Amino acid sequence: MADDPNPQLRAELNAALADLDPQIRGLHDLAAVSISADLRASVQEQIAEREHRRNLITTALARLDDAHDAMNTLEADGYPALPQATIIASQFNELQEQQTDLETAIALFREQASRMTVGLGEPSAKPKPA
Amino acid sequence: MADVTTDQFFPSVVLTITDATGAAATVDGVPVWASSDETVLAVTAAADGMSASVDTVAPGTARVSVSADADLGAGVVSLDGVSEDINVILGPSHQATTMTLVLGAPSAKTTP
Repeated sequence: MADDPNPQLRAELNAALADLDPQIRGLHDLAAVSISADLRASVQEQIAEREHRRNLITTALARLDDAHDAMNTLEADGYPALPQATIIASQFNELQEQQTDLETAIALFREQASRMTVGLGEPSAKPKPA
Repeated sequence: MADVTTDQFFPSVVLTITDATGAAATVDGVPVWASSDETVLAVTAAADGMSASVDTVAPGTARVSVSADADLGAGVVSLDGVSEDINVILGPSHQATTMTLVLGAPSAKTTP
């Protein structure tokens, strides 16, 4: 079983969710009592904002669960190990022939010259005219 | 900057061609040498263009440059190299060393 990919974030999101739930319940209760239409509208607006936030947090938690599940699947597949492949001799020989051809083709190229340096050397006395 | 007198010359100026990794590289054809001021420096390149002799002509400052084609195929990729500045000053053999006074034939003074 893989570790939770982000337990700190999960705890933070769960705590935020725990704060929201009683707020939403209380707001629904408030909307059900005898209050003015304007106040009810304000309460409903807060209900909508908090329920929207709760939905987003729930989605984020679900994605964390998905990531956890994906890691479990990955580990079940042997991750991080990924052994070299073995193939039958004829296929291996074919691969080696291809490799030889590629190396031969690559050897046709060389890196282009990109710098020329002029070295003056030491000056000498001119030969005296005969 | 290289300082040199008109009594001196550079007998063995060598061209080094490298790729981006610093490894020796080749160019297409013979590199072409030139002097930035032929009244100061005269360049005589070797047949293969990989070296040259640079003679001093007169006082002044000039450079030696080389150009070549880096593309070994059909295309042309210009590649240039240039020396440091070469400062040519007058050498002792070209400096005045003797002053001669010629008196000429004496003449009779004119009588007042």
